Amino acid sequence: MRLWFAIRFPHLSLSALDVYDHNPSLFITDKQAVFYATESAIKKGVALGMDITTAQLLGECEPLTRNQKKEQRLLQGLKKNCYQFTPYIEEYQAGHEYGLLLEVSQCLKLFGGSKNLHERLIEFIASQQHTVAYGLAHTAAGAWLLSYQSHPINGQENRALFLARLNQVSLDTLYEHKDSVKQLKNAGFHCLGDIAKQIKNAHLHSLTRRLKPEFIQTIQSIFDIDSDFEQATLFQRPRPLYEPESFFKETIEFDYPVAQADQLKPAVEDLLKQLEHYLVQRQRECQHIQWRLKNIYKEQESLEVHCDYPQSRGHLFYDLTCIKLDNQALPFEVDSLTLICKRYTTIESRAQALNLDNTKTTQASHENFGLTALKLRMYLGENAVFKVHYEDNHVPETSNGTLPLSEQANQSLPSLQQRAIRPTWLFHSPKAISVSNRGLYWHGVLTLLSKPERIETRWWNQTVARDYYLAERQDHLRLWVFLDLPMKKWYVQGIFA
Amino acid sequence: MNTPTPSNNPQLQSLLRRGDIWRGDSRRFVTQKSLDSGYGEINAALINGGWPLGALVEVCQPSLYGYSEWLLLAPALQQLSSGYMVLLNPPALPFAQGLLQMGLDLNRLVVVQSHNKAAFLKSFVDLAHTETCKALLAWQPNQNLSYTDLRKCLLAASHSSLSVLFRHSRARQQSSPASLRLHCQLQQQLELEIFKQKGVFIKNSRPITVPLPEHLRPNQNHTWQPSHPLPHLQETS
Repeated sequence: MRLWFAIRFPHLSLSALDVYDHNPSLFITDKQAVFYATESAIKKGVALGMDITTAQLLGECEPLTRNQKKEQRLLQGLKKNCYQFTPYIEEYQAGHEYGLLLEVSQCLKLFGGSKNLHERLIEFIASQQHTVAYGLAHTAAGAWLLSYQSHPINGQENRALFLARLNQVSLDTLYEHKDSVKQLKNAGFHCLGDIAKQIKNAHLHSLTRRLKPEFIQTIQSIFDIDSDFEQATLFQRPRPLYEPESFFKETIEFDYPVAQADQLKPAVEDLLKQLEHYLVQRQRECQHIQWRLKNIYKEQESLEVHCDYPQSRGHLFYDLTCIKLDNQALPFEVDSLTLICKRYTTIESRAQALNLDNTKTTQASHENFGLTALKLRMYLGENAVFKVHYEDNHVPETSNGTLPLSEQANQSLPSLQQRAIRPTWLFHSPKAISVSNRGLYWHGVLTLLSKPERIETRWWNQTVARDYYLAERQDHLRLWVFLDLPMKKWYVQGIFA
Repeated sequence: MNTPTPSNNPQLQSLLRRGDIWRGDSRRFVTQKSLDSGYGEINAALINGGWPLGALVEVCQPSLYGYSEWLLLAPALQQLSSGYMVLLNPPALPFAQGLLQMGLDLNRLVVVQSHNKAAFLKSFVDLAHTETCKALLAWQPNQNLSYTDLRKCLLAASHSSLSVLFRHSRARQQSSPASLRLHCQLQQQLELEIFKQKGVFIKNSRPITVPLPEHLRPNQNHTWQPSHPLPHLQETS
């Protein structure tokens, strides 16, 4: 039999705002409505879900704004701490109340029974300054409901006892299902025991027809009933396995401070081997690592290394780290070196596209070139490696764009451009041609060879009007020149190579 | 006294069998792999019947500002159906419209810009070692490349890919370990002169001519005169 231990934190939202005293009249608002209220605020008339303006008019209650992120952080921290008791942990939230559901049937022997486990748990949570309520049952939903009643845990509980206790639970506890509860109350039901009797005498279908599916599911999960067989489920839902966040962090301390980057490399290699072992064991890959260099005065400098593709082997990280170390001087004499890797992906989660067309470059070859491009960018600069693409624009320098390698280049050339005379090299900016007695001159006399092609655009903003020509220089080099019509100046913009 | 010949001198025989000794036009060191240049005359002049792969090809030309590269190599590049074509330290930005007109795949054309000789050499070696880099076209940086630098490039060009280094015509006078060296000159057509080819003893080779595309040929009878006069005459400085 499974054994669920529910830990309910009725005041977690308040703790998230660093308020540990529940006595003052306080309420927490979320989206212009009351999300949580202390007992004294409730006595003054504040109700959950009430409009904030109305709640404020009731007077003498201090409104606070909910901090959902901090609530989640707190809950995750508690979850991580509960991992010492059991790996099967589930989060639960009902309205404004948060909680954790722990499946403990597998660890009773370790802790010497449910009574001892309960005492250890409560002792631990009390040390965290949280107010809690707890419950124990054979189902998670049942344990949650029993947390609203104060049943002592003596280690002798069994399924029959849990069912007996659940039968006593009032329907008001199921405040999430207001409509269904109201319907049942109108029909004369007051507690879960009434529902259990109904299920026993008539079928579950008698309730299914009248009540919402969500409520029926809740009842099934409380009593552990399979809807098809109306008996305890034969195939139990797998228990949620919690894996706390872990990350890789290892340090090497040197016998003496290191002043040269080359002397760091053996330590870099060693740490990367450890990281590789860590990743391979866990079937993980990563794209980003961080090096921390510290000196004897505990001053710290970080070095970030990033890959375009996830890696589980250390070779590329080693190469990239060495490039970084070679390209910058050490800030101080290094006393210790730390490698940190916090973000991973699992290997099987990486999607791989089907390559049905064998003429195209395969994924492996993309990665192979990608690694080289990454190395080049490390020592040449991020903008040093790119590809060109066509942008639909009449102005030549604007139509010639650059792209990172990971993006697809636009290659659809309009038919007008297909027929036009176009060079293969374009200058980043047009170069001025001088005009002399001999005519046009740019490192040699130019002779125009073709009729002009007029490009005129942007009449709405900084008009571009140019007459383009094919020109031949006296050394027979073919150039693409234009006359800027508004400025009446000649420029060379491209070379036909 | 008998003149020693390979047949009667075992020492000479074993010496001639060495991999680093070739005899005139014995056509040893012929690399088997080559890439069709797209020009019959060029193929006929090359020992491999095309541009040699896994070897360094050096092209000397009068200008490093862009001269004859695409005319010379585009037909060969068009045949590469996979892998990347890399332009290392190109003289200007490749113009997408012009390259698309030539039928090149821009998704496989990569530009790498290096800022000095050391970066250039490192990039060349890294790119030449990359299996998926099927064509590497490199332009010499501002600083001249020494024999040692060229040898590094040669040794790096060991995969079955096309590696071409463009240099100024002045470099023709310098010795170079490149397997194939040629000089390009634009006249009314493109003229190629192969002045070094490994495995072939070159003597008095005649230039190979490559005709220019139709739209680049000058009309012998007419050059264009703009209908409007050239604006303000300015003395060149």
